[in-house]
Formats: sequence, structure tokens, C-alpha cells
Amino acid sequence: MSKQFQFKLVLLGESAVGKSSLVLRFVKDQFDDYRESTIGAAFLTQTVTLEDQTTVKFEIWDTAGQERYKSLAPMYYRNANCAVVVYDITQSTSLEKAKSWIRELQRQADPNIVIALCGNKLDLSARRQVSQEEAKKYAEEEGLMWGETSAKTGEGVSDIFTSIAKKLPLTAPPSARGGTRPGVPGGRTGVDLNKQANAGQGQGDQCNC
Amino acid sequence: MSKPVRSPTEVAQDIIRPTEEVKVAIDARTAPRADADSETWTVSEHEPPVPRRKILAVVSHLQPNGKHEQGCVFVLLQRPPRIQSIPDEYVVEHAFPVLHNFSISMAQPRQTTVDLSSPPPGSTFALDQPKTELTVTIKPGEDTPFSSVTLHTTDTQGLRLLLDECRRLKEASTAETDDDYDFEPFAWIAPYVADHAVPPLLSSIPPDLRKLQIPVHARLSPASAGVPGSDLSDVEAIREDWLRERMQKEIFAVGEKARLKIRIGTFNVNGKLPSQDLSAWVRDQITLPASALIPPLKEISPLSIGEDRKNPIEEQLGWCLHPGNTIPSGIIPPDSSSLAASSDSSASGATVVDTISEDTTVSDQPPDVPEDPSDPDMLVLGFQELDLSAEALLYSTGTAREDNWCMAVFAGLGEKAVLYEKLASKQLVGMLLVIIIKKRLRPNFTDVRTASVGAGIMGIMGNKGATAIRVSFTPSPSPPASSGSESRPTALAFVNAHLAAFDEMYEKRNVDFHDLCKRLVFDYANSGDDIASTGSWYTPAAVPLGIFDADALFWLVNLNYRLLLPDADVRSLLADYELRDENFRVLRRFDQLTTAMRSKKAFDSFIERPITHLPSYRFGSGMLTDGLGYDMKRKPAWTDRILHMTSRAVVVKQESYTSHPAITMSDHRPVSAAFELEGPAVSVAEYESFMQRVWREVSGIEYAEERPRLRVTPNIIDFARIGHKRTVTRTLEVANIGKVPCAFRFVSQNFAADACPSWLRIEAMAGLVLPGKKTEIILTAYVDDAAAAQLNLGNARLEDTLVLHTALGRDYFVAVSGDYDRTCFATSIAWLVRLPGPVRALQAPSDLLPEDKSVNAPREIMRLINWLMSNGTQTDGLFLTPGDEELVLRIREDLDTGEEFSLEVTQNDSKTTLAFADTLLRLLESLTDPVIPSSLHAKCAQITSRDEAFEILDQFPVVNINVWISLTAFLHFIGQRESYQTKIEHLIAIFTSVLLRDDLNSLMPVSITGKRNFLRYFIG
Ligand SMILES: Nc1nc2c(ncn2[C@@H]2O[C@H](COP(=O)(O)OP(=O)(O)OP(=O)(O)O)[C@@H](O)[C@H]2O)c(=O)[nH]1
Ligand SMILES: [Mg+2]
Repeated sequence: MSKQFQFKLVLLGESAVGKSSLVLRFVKDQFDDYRESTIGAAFLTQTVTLEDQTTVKFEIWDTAGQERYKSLAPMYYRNANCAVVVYDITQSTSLEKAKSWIRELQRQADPNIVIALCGNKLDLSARRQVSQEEAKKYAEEEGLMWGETSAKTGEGVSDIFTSIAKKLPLTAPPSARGGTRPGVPGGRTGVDLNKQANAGQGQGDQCNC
Repeated sequence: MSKPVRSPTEVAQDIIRPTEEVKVAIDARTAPRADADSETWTVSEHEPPVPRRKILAVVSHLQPNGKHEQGCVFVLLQRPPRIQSIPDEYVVEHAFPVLHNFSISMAQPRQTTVDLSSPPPGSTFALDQPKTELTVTIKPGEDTPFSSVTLHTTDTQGLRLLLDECRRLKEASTAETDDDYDFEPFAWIAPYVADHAVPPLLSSIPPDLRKLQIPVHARLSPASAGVPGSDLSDVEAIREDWLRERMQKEIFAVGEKARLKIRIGTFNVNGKLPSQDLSAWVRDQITLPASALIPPLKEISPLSIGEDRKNPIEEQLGWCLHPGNTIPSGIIPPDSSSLAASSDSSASGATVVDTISEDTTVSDQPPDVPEDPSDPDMLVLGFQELDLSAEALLYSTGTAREDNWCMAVFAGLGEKAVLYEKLASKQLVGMLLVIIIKKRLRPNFTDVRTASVGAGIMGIMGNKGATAIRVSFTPSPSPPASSGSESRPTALAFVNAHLAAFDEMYEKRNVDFHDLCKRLVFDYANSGDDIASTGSWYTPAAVPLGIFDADALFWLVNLNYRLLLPDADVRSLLADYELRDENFRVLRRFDQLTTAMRSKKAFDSFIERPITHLPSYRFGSGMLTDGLGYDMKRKPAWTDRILHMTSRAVVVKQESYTSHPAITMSDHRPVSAAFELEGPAVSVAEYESFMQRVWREVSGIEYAEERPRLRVTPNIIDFARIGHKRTVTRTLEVANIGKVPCAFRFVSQNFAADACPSWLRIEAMAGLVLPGKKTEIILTAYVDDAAAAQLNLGNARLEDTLVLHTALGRDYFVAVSGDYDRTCFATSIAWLVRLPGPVRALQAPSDLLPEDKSVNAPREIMRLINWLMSNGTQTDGLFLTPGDEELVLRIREDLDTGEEFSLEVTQNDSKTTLAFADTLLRLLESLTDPVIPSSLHAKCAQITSRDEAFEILDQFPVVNINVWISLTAFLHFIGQRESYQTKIEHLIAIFTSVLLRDDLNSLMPVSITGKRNFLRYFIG
């Protein structure tokens, strides 16, 4: 019998780095060259099935990168189980912005939050401004997952979400996750909470990409 | 009488309208005849009868073409004087058109009759003897419906002139055959004669109250530009409204007021006999020390009532019901010096009239009991289920139970009981209506009539139905004066009804209501009054009257209307004391009576004050009750209600509306309401004389052959910028430049349109202007939510044409225009996300983004939440405290224009943050559709886990999900704060009402607690 878990995932990052594009690729396997910048936030869900048939349902909160909606972020990452902080590999300033988001998460979010740093627009590596080494080093120092993606080609997109799913503590009882907030295993399938599938690897691991 | 006698010409001129001219007028009197009595009156008992003065006048009328002149001989008759301050008044007794076969002749007794119809050429009459009494005979001609009249006069000089004038006019009338000028000959006389001479407002029957609730323009005939409706009936309606308005402004509003405190109660006693103190129900508060009161009669065992139904409290209370008994000394306040002066009624000049009231067996001399200004003048109590026995249904079981309850009521009045007496009562099986009044006001109540109607088994039995009482209240004149100055009475009607029980009988109750309205008729035969005793217009009408033929109508009823929400919902909403206000708002929304009133199915236009007391039904005893004492087997409901409706002449202020939970002897709790009725205390004479005078100005509009002419300025009105809930006012001046009064109304350009565009208000939509006068019509551009919802979808440039139609005249056109400032309010989420930029920048609807290119969420909502996240999370009471109106408007303006918010916010500036929160709430409320589509509410309400709750989001439109998620995330965020722990439930209640807006048209509403639970999964 398969087990289903539900997790709240928040995407953060500077405007235009491709957060919404990543979600669109992940959820609908589509890409759109002209996307309207996100207003406030968009909410989507997508389920990934792990090798052991465990399913993980992500409640994805795709936030707006524009400054004018910046104050909204705390209400979205509050109680998030995981965060994907996105930067654009062709814009070094976007990594700086990503770093500041990570600092904010480390200060304000749930201490157990799983954070992945994601360099997007891999298809534009010719115009790369952020080297893999630089980003990877920073991620290791901070104990983050790290990977590069292209929402346009789809490269690395599902990997990053799958890695997060594996990394999440699939054993956590509801009470450990801040009241009634997400992260609670789906009750409908009658999961035995004490008999869990293998949890992900240790902290600092990078995804397969 | 110090007034100088007015000359005949003066009198005649007073009656004649500007379109006519008095040529000659002389004094005359009736030739003595056998039936002369009706034409005399007695000034005082000691003087012989004086003949009523008559005036004979020749009046001429020039046709609008300026050529044709017509004449008419009027006989004016003096009306009996009523009060000395009012000048003598005259009515047109006869009006004889001077036509070809008209003749007027005079004779000196025993002298030759001179026949004017064939006068000798150039003849004159040598009638120079002073004080010679001459006889005048007027023969209207065989082909007229009038019969001839003979009068006497001593004014020989005047009579000669009068005859000359008649001859001249007669020649003029026969000379005009050569012209084909088109007019209705002598139509101008019509307003002076018979029926038309009585203003409609002088009827002793008040107009139907229901009609008065509808503005006059809504009662006019259907019409549009170029297609007039029924102008004649419209004139009548507009004119009557105008008369009423003038009466209101010039007589009622400025004159003395009479106040009457009416306390109304309704109590379904479930067949019980009184076993408890009723004072809480029958009197407001008890201000006297407890020792001065009758001991409360609590918890007397029903067993002690005994077989003979002798009421246990009777013995204690006998003093106030049986003559000769002395008052227990304990209840007389030691200090009675505060005795109200007003209790002295001996000076009242009003006539005491018999009524149908039973002998109330009260001791003749009321002891000195002080009156409080708060004491009701009138107690009107309705009982239902007085007697549940089967026999009661079949035959009258006597008045034993009525007596029992009346005794209990008087007992409840405590030491004040001696001030009161029963005026009237009406019982039908279990329904009893009792009116108790202050004794000193007894002379002020007349024309008491009762009615009853069964609507129970087979539609006629009295287990359900209504009883009703109608009384006239005539305020005492102040200062007390002669009998001529009695006041105009105010008619009050009270209905005690008991309608079909059970939740599902909703439609039946609505039908019953209309049935009762029709069938409750107050027969004149019921009244104990003698109509012939007074000579005023206000003698009680000797006709049957309906319940709406009154100045004020009250219903005190067990309507059995229930709450539409599920049982568990009702109980839990009632039980939550913390959320009482919000929950009551919700419950009231789903009360069947409120629903019926809203949908105009029953009690349309009645007023009921919003209920703030717990439902009065149904209480149980023992195990099967909930925490509030309600019977578990019956859904609690506000079955016992008090409603009213009034005419413009009276103002009713409701001071309280409550139930009395301490009185527990029945499964219902009694309900009471205190009213203060304020009516004009104007004398009948003053009223009538005013009405006659004003009537003269406007009677006969429909007979004028002059076309009404107006000057309407300006004819182009630009409102410049028009915005949502912003008021822009312009004035239209309507001047009557013609010779006749002009009734006007606005009509639509065509039958498909409204007379007034949705963004405009016209004050007034119909009216009347006298010749030479002008009136201002106020045009107010105001866009409410409903209008904004339409205007947002159309072009920003607003242009329309108003059509002002003059009855029996032409149409005038006024072009109105403005530029609409679009707003994000009163739109839909789906529309907002198609905006390419700020809403104000949208030129035309075609500029909207295609649906598949719409943005993920409305900017306006997200901007507000973002602002609140930056500045408002430390403020207490967000969404719970209303925002400052002006600040809300400024915030909205920035949202609409897309500008940065211009409001500065400083530390601890809760005023600004509360305004932002309120703007968000109002924006959500104004949306044409709730954030969660109505079709999903039922599903949402059944959800039992967080996972399910998130799953159902998939069924929302994407944009709605985003709005929902962000709003609930914000509420969750602020709900985490310590200070919100106690308020979160309140926020949930408020936002459920907004985001899962109730469907008010549903008779099977979705569970409120279910909907709140759903929201709780996201923010709890
Ligand atoms: N070439 C390339 N373009 C991308 C990629 N991902 C996104 N884009 C483009 O980058 C632009 C911005 O992408 P979005 O997904 O809207 O960016 P965002 O992070 O959601 O921006 P905000 O909603 O404003 O915070 C769009 O024009 C996308 O087509 C990518 O992997 N490769
Ligand atoms: Mg985006």
C-alpha cells in the first residue's frame, strides 16, 4: 500500500529568475516565453512518487519576486516544510538576492525547513555569470541542497523536487510540524506513521543533476 | 366675532381661481321654505336660528385664445363655523353656465316679473327703493341637469349690475358659433362643483398605509417619451402626494405634537394560566423600592390553580379589579407629591364617547399614584394559545381565561395598576388581544372597532388566525378650548395573529398573511360611537375599514416563522456568546420572516427592529433541552414578533424590543416592544381650512384648457467626474410660466429603459408647481455597488437624456452626462485579473486581456494584503473595527489609479491600518461573486479534514485559489499573534460571511458552522 505525505513548499527569489516557469514545468510540463510577473503568489499542487511508491504531494506557493509584494513572503513561508530559492545563472545579482532570502528563512522560518538553492536558465549557460562552484560552495557552507535547472528545456526540474521529497522527514508526526500546518501525512490512506520509508540523505547533499 | 364681514366680491374672489374673474357678486338668502332647517344654524341656545349667508356671483372666463368669453352664475354657501379664529368659508352650492337657454329673472313681490330671456331693448329698471326685498329666479334651461333656484336679495343696485352682466355674457355665448376654435365648453366650471370641491385628504378614512409606503412616481401609469400614460390619474396621484407633503411641512411639522407611549406585548401562553409575575413584560423597569411592590408571584404550583380555574393571584390583586376595594397600603409610595399634573383630565374638552369596552370594574377614584413619563399610555397585549382545549375550538368558553390574564397583567403593573383600565379586547379561540389604557386618556380614545378571522383547520377555524382592534386617538386640545377645536384623530390598528406552525409551512404562512390582511375588516357596526354627534369631516366613517386604513398599524404576533439554518447550526450560533452580534446578523438573515419581507412575499414595507434577544421559542423542561434551555426536539426560532407600519403623518420611535426569559410558565417567552408615537395635534378646523385653501390652488388641473407651461433650466447637465460611492449634485430648476398648476413626472425615453439612469438619483421623480412658482429638482450622481458592477463593464463616458413629462402638456428633455471613474470595487475577480493595468487606465472593455492571458491574482487585493503585512500586523482589531470613511476612499482611489499609497503611516497609527483592513474587507464584500463559488459551498461545509480542504481547492477557478490562499495565509499570520487568539473566531465568522457569502435566496441554506469550519482549516 502506498503512503502519501503532504508538504508545503515555497518558491522565493528575485523577479524574473523563473520561479513560475519552474513550477509550470514541474506541474504541467509546459514552458511559456512570455509570462506575466506573478502578483502576490500563486498556489498549485503536484504529487511525486518515489521509488518505494511513497507519494509526496507538494502544496506549492509560488511567490512574487517583485519588490512591491515583498512583505507578503513571511505569510507564505510561515510553516513551509521546504523552500526552493531560485536565482538566474545569467544574473549575479539574483544570487545575492537568493542569499538574502536564505538568511531570512534561516532566521524566520521553521527551523526544520529544507532549503534548496536552484540556479535556473541553465539553457543560457553561454551567458553564465554565476559559476557552479561559487553557488555550490555557498550551499554547502549553509547546509543547503543545490542544483541547476532550465525551465525552458526541463533539465533538472523534476530532479530538484524529487530530491527535496526524499530529503523530507517522512516520519514526522503532526505535532512536530507546528500545529495543524502542512507536513502532516495524508490521513486518508491510513498510513502507519511508525513504519516509514527511507528518509532522504543527510544535510548538504546535492541533487542529481 | 370681531372679524369684519367680508364683502360678497371678496368672498367670491377667494374661491375663484386666477383663470376666472368675478364680475359681480351680491348678498342673497334663500327664500323661506319648509326645509329651511338645513340652511340655518344655531349660534347659541338663546338666539334664534340665523340663515346661512349666500352669495350670488357672476364669474367670467376667457378662453386661452383670448377671444371667447363664457359666464357662469355661482351660488356660494357659507359653511357652519367651527372655530372663531378661522374666517368664514364658502362652498359652491350651484354653478349655472350662462348659455342660450339660461335665464335669470327678478321680481319685486307683487310686481311684474322681468324676464331677462327676452328683455325689452334698452330697458332699465327703476328699483331704487332701499331695502326692498327682491326675488331672483335662475332657470338653467331645460336641457341642463340643474333645476331652478330662487333667492332673495336686498341689494337692488348690485342685482341690476348682475343682470346686465348676465345679459352681456349670454350674448357673448351665442355670438361665438362662427369660429371653429376647439375647446370643451364650460369645462372650467367642473373644478368648482360638487365632488371636486372636496380635497381628497379630507376623507375620514386614512389612505391605505401600503400605498403610502410606495413613492408616488412608482404609482404612476406606465409612460415613456411621446407615449404619455394616463395623465388624469397621474395628476390625481401627484396632486394628492403634493397636498400631503404640504400638509406635512406646513401643518404637521410646525404644529403641536401629541405623544403616545405604546407598549406592545405578544405571548404564546401554551394553554397555561398565569402563575408568575408579568411585570417584566408589561412594564419597562421597576423604579420603586422593592418593598413597595407586590411580592413576585413566582413558581406557584399549577396544582394550586384548582379545578375552578380560580387564579391564585386574584386574591392579592382584587383591589385593582374590583370597585370599592382599598389599596394595600404597602404599595402606595409615601411621597405622592410627584403626582403628574398631566393626570388631570378634567379640563379636556374632548367628547366622551361610549365604547364597547366592558366595565373594567376599577374603583372610581384612582388613588394618588405618581405617573412616570416612561409609563406607557397604552398597553396592547396579544396572547396566543390562551386555551388549547378542544371545546374552545367549538364554542366560546367564556371570558374566564381572559379575566385571569388581565388580572395578571394588572398585577404586573404593580402600584401603577390603578392608573389603568381596559379599553377593549377581542378573543377568538386561543387568540386574545387586549388594550389597556391610562384612565385619564379614556376620553381620547373613540371609535373602537374589533375584528377577527379564523385561518386554522379548513381555513376558517380559530385555532389559527387573527383578532384585531382599531381605535381613534384624539389628542386633548392644548390649551383646552371650545368644542370646535377638537383635534384631528389618529387611527391606530393592532393585529394579534397566530399563523401555521412548523418549518415547512413557510409558504402557507405567507399566504395566510395576505388572507388575513384581506379578511380582517372592522365593521362599523362594531363601533360604539355615535357618528351624528359631531359635525366634522372626521366623524368615524360609517363604512367597513381594513387594517391598513389607519395612521399606524402594529402586528403583535406568533407568526411561527422559523430559522432556515440546520438545527445544529442554530443552536451553536446561539450558544456562542462571544460572537453574539455577528451570529445574530447571520441568524436574522435566515429568519423566514426576514426572508419573506425581503422577497416581498409577506409583510412587505413593514418595519421590524433588528432582533437582539434570544429566540422566544421553544423552551423545554427537564432533560431534553440544550444549554440555553431550548427543547431539543424543536429548532429554536423567533416566532413571536412585533412589526409596524405608519403613515407620514405619524412618527413611531421604537424604544425597545426584547424577550423576557424570566417568565418561564410557557414554552414560549413573552416578547415586548415599547414605542413612542408622535402625531400632529392639529385641530380639525385648522387642518380642514388649510386643506381647503391649498386644495383650491390645485383643484381642476385636469379641466383647465390652458396647457401647462414650464421652463426647465438648464437643459444640459454635466456631472464631470462620477465615481463609486461619491456624490455629485446638480440642480434642475422647474418654473411654471403658465397659468395653471402643473403636475410633472420623469418618464423613460422608451419602454425598455428606466426613467432615471442607474448612476443618477432624481429628487423628486414627480411633483407639482403652481403658476408663477418654481421648484428645484436635485440630481445626484451616485454609483452604488450594483450600478458600479454595470458601469465598470461599459464605456467610461456616461450620457443620457432625462424626459420630464408634464401631465396634459409636453415633454421637456434634459441631457445628462459625466465621466465615470472606474473602480476595482463591485467587479469580479475574473474581470480584475484581465486588467492590463490599473482599472482607471482602462479606456474601453475591449482593452481587457484575453482570458488565457490574465494575471494570476488581482493586484488590488494583493497590494492591500502586502500593505497590511508591512504595516498592519501589529495593530489590534483589524477587520473588527470599521475604517475611517475618508481614508477608505483615499485608499480605494490609489488602488484604482495604480498610484503608490499616499497615506503616510506612522508608529501606532491604527487609524490608517484599520482603514486598510476595512478597505480590503469592503472590496471583497463588493465583489459580484464570493471568492468561493456558491456552487461549492455545500461541499466545503461538509469537509472534515485539512487534506480534503486543500483538495477541494482544485475545483475553484485558479485565480480564486490564489486569492483564497493569500487571504487565509494573512489571516493565519495575524491570528498567530497573542492578541488575536481571542479574536480569531470572530475573524473566521466575518470572513465566512464575505468569502463564502450566504445565498439569501436559498430556502435550504448551507450550514454556517460547516462553512466556518472550512475556513478554519486554512487559518485556524
Ligand atoms: N531561457 C530561459 N528563460 C526562462 C527560463 N525560466 C524562465 N524564463 C523566462 O524568464 C522570464 C521570467 O520568468 P518567470 O517564471 O515569470 O519568473 P518569476 O521568477 O516567476 O518572476 P516573478 O513572478 O516576477 O517573481 C520569462 O520570460 C520566462 O520565459 C529558463 O529556464 N530559460
Ligand atoms: Mg512568477
